[in-house]
Amino acid sequence: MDFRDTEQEASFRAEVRAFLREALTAEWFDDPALRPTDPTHSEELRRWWQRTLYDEGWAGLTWPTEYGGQGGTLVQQVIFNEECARARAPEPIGVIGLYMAGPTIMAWGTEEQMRRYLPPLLSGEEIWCQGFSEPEAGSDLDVRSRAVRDGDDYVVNGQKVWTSYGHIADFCIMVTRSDPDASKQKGFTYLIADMHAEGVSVRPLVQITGQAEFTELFFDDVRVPVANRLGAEGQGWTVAMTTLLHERGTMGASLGVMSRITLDRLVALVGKLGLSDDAVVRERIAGFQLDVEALRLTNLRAITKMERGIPGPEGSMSKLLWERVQQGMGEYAMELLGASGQILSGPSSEEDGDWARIYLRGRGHTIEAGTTEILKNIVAERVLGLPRSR
Amino acid sequence: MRATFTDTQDALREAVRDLLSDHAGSAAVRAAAFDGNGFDADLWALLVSMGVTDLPGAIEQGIVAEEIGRVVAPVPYVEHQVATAALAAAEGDDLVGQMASGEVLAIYAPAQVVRMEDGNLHGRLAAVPHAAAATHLVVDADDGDQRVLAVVEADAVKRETLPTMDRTRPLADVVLDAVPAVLAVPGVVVAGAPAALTAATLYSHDLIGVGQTCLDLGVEHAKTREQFGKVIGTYQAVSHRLVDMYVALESARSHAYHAAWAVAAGEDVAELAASQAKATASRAAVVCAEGAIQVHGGIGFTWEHDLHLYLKRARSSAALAGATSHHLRRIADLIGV
Repeated sequence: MDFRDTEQEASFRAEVRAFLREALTAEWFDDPALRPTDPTHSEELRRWWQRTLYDEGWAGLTWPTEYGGQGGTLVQQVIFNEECARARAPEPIGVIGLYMAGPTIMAWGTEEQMRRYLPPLLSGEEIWCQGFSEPEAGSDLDVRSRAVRDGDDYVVNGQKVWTSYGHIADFCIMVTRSDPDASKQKGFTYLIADMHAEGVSVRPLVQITGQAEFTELFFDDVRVPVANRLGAEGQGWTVAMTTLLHERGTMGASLGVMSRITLDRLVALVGKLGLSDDAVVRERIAGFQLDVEALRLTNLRAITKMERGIPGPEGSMSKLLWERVQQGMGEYAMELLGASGQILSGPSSEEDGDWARIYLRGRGHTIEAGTTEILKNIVAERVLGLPRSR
Repeated sequence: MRATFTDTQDALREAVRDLLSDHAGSAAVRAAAFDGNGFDADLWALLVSMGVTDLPGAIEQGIVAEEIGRVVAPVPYVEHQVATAALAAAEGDDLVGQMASGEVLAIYAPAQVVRMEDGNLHGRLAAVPHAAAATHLVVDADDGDQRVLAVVEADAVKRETLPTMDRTRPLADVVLDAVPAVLAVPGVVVAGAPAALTAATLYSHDLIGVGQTCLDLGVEHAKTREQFGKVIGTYQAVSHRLVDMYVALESARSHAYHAAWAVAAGEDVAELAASQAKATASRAAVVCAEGAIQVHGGIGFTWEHDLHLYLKRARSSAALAGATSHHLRRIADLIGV
């Protein structure tokens, strides 16, 4: 049990810090418009950041070097995430690619697919989105989008929903139904669809915050080459599970950083509101500290245990912990701010209404990437060994 | 960074677990708790002969404390280690050596100060855990000029056993009426930091051991008990409560292991880590014990079932070395709220 950096880890951390100090200007730290927790913060900035990471050799830290990665360790990734949090670095634009599509391609892709897709995914030249959910397929991933084989192509028809980055994506990892009569486990096929292909249309989906962070995708006779399939025909369910484990594990680990930033901001807010001596407030903040740290430490334990880099079902536990604390902090900020929490911008607002956005966005945390209820089912069945509930 | 145990540490855990499974089953624990005085002297002797009182640091001690918690063994392991930590300033003294070898069983009564006059101690200590089993007591004293950490022989004091909820960790009031100190270390601050950190960290491990057994019992019951034609673990009201218990427990486990490392390594973060561990473990063990009783239904509410031993032990360990609210206040201070 040793939570200290080894000598190599310490020198890696120093390198990361030096890079961040160099890459992020003083304005970055001072400009309130640049906020890592705000989903609207500039797409351009995030593109620049990913390109910078790639050019300076920080993208795909744990990925093999032959696909543009750095061949590093998971611990290095953790150190990098921690330092980015400390520096309030922006989020790279291609998170779906980095955390979900990329790892899935590495697990299931052919050599050719890996060489084709991974380097531009890492550099942010090509942006990815994910097409799993459908209007009639939420927690129960009962996909209806049809893929019908026609020569060397699949012809895809259907609709996807809740697709982050759909409006800027170049590729979509999608689950389709190739055999309407087979079970989910046998009737799905996992495809990489070109978002610029004929027949793909994208519509913004305005959510509770008033922003359109998600989109709806429509596929109308879209031809997807068979060469763009991940895994075999009919194996889509299993491939999709890899993506989802990474969504909750790999992406979940990076979300711990978001919670640390939010808690630091909440502590600052308490001071600004003159509530630092309020015993009740102090106790609540300490409670958030327990969860934020538990998330970090539990992730470190999981990383040490993790073999071959594929997260286990324990990732679902991290996500449960994360959504609770992240949502909870937004709720508590609303309570602390009182009426001023209602004001979304302008000089009378607190932090330009960020806390209202954090609060409202938080309602989605217990729904996206597996609802609380589904994640509890997964932990019950896969970790505790309880019988299936359905 | 390596957030896991070494092979040697795993081997220690296995050895302690084996010994406890042979000698601290439900019948043995109940015999000591209900027919005896809440101290299993034979089990203590076996543990001492394994060397558990002479382990290198908080990580190893934590492993032992966790295993002891898993079976709610009625032995004063944590208390003895806390006394050892309190006397760290007197390292090299014969008595301290005898504590490591287990010849001496010392209990520290933290945060209570008695009066010292001409080398004799006067005063009263409230609710000292395992005082009846001790050969020596370690107390904070005030000699009029300064604070002194003093050791007295337990035979020389009056011990008034209290009727307690948790019978695996008996409490007694201790009366000191001109009791001579056999060792006095001057200048030691009350509730010395090393003892407080050790106490919070090791009780946290006791608590995650308690919580784990409760979770295991709850899960096992949910897998086998049938109602309305199905095993109850298929009902989400039941399974989701068990998941809540698991999440609370794993969070506490992460904090406990982190605290053990921080204390052992003398890290700056040790005090924060120990408070985080104690706050989460106290809550998690109680959540697991109460949850397991609920999942068991009526049988979990009986004297016959072991769960009440665990619930009471959880409450006892949660109450010692600072209740959750105390640690939350410390955490708020330490993170600069």
